[in-house]
Amino acid sequence: MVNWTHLKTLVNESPVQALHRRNPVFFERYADKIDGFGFDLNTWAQWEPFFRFCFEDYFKVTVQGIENIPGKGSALIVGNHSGLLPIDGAMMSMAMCNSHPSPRRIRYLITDWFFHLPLLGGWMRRTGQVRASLEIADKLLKNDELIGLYPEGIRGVGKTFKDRYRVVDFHPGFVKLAISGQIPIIPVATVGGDEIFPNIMSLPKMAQFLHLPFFPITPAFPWLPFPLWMTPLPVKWFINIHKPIKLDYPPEKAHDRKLVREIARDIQYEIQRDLNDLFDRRKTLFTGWDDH
Amino acid sequence: MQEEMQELANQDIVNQETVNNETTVDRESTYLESILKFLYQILWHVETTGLDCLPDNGPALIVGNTSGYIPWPALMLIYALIEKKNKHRTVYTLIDSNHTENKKLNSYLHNLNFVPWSYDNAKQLLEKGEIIVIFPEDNKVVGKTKSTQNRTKRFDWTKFLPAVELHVPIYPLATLGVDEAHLVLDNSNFFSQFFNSKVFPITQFFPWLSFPFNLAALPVPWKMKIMPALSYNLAKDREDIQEKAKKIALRAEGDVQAEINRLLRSRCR
Repeated sequence: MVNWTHLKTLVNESPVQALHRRNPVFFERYADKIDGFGFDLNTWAQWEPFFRFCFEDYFKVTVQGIENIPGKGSALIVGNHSGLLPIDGAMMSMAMCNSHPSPRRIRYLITDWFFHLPLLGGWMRRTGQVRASLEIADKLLKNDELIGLYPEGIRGVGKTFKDRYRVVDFHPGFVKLAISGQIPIIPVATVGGDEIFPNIMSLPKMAQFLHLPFFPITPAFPWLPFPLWMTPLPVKWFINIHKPIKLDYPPEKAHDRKLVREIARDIQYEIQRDLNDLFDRRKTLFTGWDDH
Repeated sequence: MQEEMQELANQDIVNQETVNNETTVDRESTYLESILKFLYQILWHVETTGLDCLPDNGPALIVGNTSGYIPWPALMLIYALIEKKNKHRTVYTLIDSNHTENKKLNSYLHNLNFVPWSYDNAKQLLEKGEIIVIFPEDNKVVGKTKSTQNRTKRFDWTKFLPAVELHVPIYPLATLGVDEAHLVLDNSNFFSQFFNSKVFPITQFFPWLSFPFNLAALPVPWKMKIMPALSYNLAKDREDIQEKAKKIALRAEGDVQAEINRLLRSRCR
């Protein structure tokens, strides 16, 4: 049975007050602080109840290992990308905001393409996301922020249903960032996201014509009118956060391409292995796992 | 049965002269080759790449994924080497001795250089400079259902120990198609408990048909790829051997899975 409590807060109470009341640690951490990359606590407070509803009531996300994310200091959260709309990042942010003893925001590095979209680019900036660039990432690291990224890039979200939970080769840039910034990498495996919008097939020519990264055919898209095609299936999610990997290499090793590639590959394999295990143990799409 | 197969294997290993002078196919009657040819060329249209990676002489370990009771990728590899005339190398396949208990089948497998897995057998063959093939997922792969198709199970790192100890090159082998060819509809817990076996898969042919028809497979095209050898340093001591074996098992498993993912994506383009 779906619980609508979180959505009701949007109507009954000022979102900022509601966030302050429910999550004072998070609120006080970011209130009255100007962020150089456009984060706006009011926008966060407005959207948080909706994504919290998705997290707790709609997708019923189970999170394992949230304690592996540090309460302070920088870290790089790296995971498998999923879903045609990148909701996985939002779910991870919800986990960090509402399930962590020291709630923090995650700054996801997003491909430029999304920032070119009208309305969406500004909204993403205000909810804490930033453009994917090494320069921006370096600045965030200096500010002791948590950085989230999906090294599969846009290829990760455009997977077809039969390729679900099959990781595309990781771009190794994140390892370079971790070594040069001397920060730990936290691998995250997410199961659930690849099935909320079952991508039956992709039409690359149509995507090219419309200047889109991919053009999916789902049971709802493009058949149903907006925003109905954006309605995801209520698939049960599982997010497994691994222990931080501390790379004991001096910063100059960030330029060792072979080393960087090898570490990226090992992390990719670790996530893939976990996905295989989780996928194997899952009972059904909508009921999830018995042992969790 | 286990003892019988071990005995047969020991005869092979001890009698080095026999092994060196006769290749598998020389010893085997032509109909076995015909069966392999039928499976390779007609039923599964196997495309094998990366055979050139294998050394012309000296030992090597090939590790791969498989599905079903019989490690079919090993048989297809044997035929691929036969077909590629410039490769005169024998491949030994090390399987769990309890993999199959059918006497007739074991006899066929023995003639195709299938040897029961043991640390000593693997080490002896490698020391003799042979190529050995192992499928370190073991019995876990017998009952792969549709949801776990083309997803590797955990590789058993202990099977890498002989190769790591001897610093033998290790080649991952990814096979796409084997899971679909041996599609398991369901695993019956009731029958597996009744027969005291780890798994009891229900397929389109098993247990309904009699041997060998219950081993029949679907005509799905296969792709096999042997990847370049994994690089690792010579291990210093026992502890180091174990550490390296664990690391290499993870790397090999990851390489195989990543290659299967790539092959799957390329198949649908």
